[in-house]
Amino acid sequence: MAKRFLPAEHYQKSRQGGYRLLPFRFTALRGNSFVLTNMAGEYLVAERDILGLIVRHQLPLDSPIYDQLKSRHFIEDDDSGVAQELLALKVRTKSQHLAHFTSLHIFVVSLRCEHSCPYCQVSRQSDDKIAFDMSLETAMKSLDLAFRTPAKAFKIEFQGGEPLLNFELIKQIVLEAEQRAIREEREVAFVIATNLAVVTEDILDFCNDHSILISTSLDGPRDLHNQNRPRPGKDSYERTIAGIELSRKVLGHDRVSALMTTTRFSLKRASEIIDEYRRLGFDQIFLRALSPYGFAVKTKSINAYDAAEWLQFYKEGLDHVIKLNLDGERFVERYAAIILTKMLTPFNPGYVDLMSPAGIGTQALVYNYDGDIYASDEGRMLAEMGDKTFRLGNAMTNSYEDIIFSDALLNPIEDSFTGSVPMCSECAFEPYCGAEPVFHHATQGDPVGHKPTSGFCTRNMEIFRHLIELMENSPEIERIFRSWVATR
Amino acid sequence: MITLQGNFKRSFGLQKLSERLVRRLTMDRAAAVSRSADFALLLEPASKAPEGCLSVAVEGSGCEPSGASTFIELPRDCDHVTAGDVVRFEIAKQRFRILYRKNSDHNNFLVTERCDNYCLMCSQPPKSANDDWILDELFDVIRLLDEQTGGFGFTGGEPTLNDRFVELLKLCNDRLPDAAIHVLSNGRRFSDPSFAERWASIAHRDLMVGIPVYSDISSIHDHVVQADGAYNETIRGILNLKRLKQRVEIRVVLHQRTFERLPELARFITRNLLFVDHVALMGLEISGFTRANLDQLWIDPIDYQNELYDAVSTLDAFGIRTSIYNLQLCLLDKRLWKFAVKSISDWKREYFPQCAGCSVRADCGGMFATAKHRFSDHIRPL
Amino acid sequence: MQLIFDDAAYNLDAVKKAAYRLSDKISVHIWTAPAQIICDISFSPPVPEAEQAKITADFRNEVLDQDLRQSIGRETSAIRNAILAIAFSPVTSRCG
Repeated sequence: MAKRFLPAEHYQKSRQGGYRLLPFRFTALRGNSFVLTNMAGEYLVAERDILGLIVRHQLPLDSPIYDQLKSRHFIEDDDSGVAQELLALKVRTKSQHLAHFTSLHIFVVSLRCEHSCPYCQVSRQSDDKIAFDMSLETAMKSLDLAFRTPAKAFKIEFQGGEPLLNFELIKQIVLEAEQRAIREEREVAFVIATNLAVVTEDILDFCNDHSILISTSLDGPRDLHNQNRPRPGKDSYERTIAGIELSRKVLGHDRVSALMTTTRFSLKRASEIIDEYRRLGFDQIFLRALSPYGFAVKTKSINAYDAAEWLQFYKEGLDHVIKLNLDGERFVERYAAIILTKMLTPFNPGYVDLMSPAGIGTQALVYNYDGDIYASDEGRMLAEMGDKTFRLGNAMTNSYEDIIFSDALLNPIEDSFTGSVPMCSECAFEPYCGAEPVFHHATQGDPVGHKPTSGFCTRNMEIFRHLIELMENSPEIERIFRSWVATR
Repeated sequence: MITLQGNFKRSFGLQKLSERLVRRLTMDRAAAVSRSADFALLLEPASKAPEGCLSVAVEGSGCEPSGASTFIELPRDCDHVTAGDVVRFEIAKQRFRILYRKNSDHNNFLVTERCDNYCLMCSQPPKSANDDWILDELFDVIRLLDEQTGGFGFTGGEPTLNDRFVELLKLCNDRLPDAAIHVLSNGRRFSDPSFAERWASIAHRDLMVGIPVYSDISSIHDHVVQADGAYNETIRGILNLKRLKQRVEIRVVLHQRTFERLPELARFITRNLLFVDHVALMGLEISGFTRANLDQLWIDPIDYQNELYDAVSTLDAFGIRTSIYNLQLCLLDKRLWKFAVKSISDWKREYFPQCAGCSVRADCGGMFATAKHRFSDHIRPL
Repeated sequence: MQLIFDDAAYNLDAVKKAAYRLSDKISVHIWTAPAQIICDISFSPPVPEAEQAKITADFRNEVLDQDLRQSIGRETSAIRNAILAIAFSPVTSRCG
């Protein structure tokens, strides 16, 4: 009754018929090696000669890369039956955020601010509340528009100037939003992006009662932070530290986060900045580039630096962070984590600046103090410099449909879609990158831009290459990176 | 090893009985008599079998038949039987099999011995004869269980080969609200959307199907299960089950054919099947076909700990509940101890002599009784 | 610097895309003659000869790469469209 057991070779017969290519792209990694990516953003590294063999259907069946190509759905052969179905599912998962649409609503409740940071695009050193604070009426109309989003769960972020200077309005918006959320069975989360210079215990008590998170600015050690962020009294750093301590005391350690801004003065001090974050009990940092808008452009001589210098800074910082992890300390670099989420997981991290279709409007909307609505924070900053290209309408006079279907929004999204523009459409890194219509409009004059000379492109491609190289050369670093994007 | 089947030691008065019976043991004489089609009386020590029902005793308990009684004595090593156990008696062959043990956490019901795979390491080698009677009998067994009955499993062969199995699960759902049910299946039948939908229509409150996937590469999986096209059907089956929001566990038996690409399989699961409810990575049981294919299968578990750690870290990083079954703590990378589960069914679990002095013996699942045929060179007390 | 490509082995699209990709370093005047695609390359910003040779080699490789991309595209564009169609089809709770 027993059947014979058949050898492994019998089950490989399907390969004898040759393999077929599944859709994939390739871009140079370093020297002779290339990164290959499939439609779901899974990658493999291969040398140029192997790549040629693969594409010309000449790859030997016993090549070590054959199984990898098959497993990651770069090729299929006669027993791959379920490969295309799985690919389609993966593409679907990567795109599912699109259905939720706008999930970040930025309310600029005041332009007033007591700091005068050279890199700031928008703030006003003024006490004129009428001129520079958002009114209750504007806030409620903006909230109406925000609640039109299809997303069941979304976030409201309060920005400025310094939003705590109009805290009364924040309270009213939070209370009203909570009521509506209950009625509509939705979840709304709140964040205040504040320099914490004017925070009080009363403010924090309210934040605690309504689960509001605090996101503050910390540019690095005291001298660097104060140099970047001047204020009367020259005590921005001291106030930030005190504000962090107080906020943590009232809200809990994990409800307070910090973001840095990179200036020319930061560029040689990556490790110091990271160590400052550690010293203050943070376990993550976001090594950001500087956007070329507003005061930053006006004071070009202070803050000018090019992509190469910034990349040097970034790599040094990332290197320092990796060393910490290798020594057993958990510390995450957030920009890498966002990209690694795209590289290593089925999901899309939903980070506005690295999305295609662009995140303007589709992921984030900005409701300005004067009722004007912008496709993104950068769009608002451009308007402050006189360029209103990305102004979509006004909360007092326009409907949701006016705003979402406006040409000002739809045209740049469509034009910049990386799946169809030159160079991006064939780039292996496209699944990790984004369409940045506002950046390219500001720096190169149109939403698509000219990628070979785009700072956004140069910067990001180098980071993608660097992360992949690090993982290829060290399984331990790959494991560390995986822990950064872990979902548990 | 706990004895679950064998021959009657003694019997008396069986001529009136039908060929095959299934009875639940009880010590309640009145119940045994009034519902003699369901119950058999488990005799108190040193007592005599009454009339009016089937009586069961264990050798050495000093029980005796009497007059017109119907009496079966089980061998001495069945002294673990207790009221609540369900037993099949085959009269002509004078054989018994304990189908359900009240005191066990590891009850598994065999549904059929037929299977459309033919795994190199199958511990229940398939037979092709029609054995629908086994499934039919299970309807009787389920009806004999208490309402509070806790969890149990269904295995085979391939349980889904017979459509009536879905009906059996419906019966379990109706009668046994506290029973969490685990079904072992190769998953291939679920590639048929209408079968998957019938499964989902059970709407069982706590049902999980455990499906083996042995590799990210179809030809390797198909070789292990000795069936062309099995991998594609299995993956499709998993996808169909998940579309219908059914709970799915992926099982991987760790041996020579599967350990090398284990990290790749883990990566494949996190990219393609992230929605699975559990992954069970299992040490090899040396029974059934395993012994015939040992040189293709055997690898000392100590030699695949790197691959195992890599795979488990990947799965764990992505929030997939992962367990390691059937591996002894002395062989396991220490970082993996928290994933190890004492999984070997009590009736087939044993320890080696050197385990006597081991400080973590209480936490270790021990080994299969069949391990004596081939075992690691590194079993040692910690 | 002039490069000549045999138009039996290379196509115009591949050459144009390669030129576009390297347009931060070179500007290319592309024109055709019988059985030929001719590229007049000027280096902008200007660079020393050794660097020019390297960039030219990169350009040649890039043309080859573009050709390879076209092969992949020809073979897989139908599958790509099919996969996108499935990925964006409406969700149902039925399987199949």
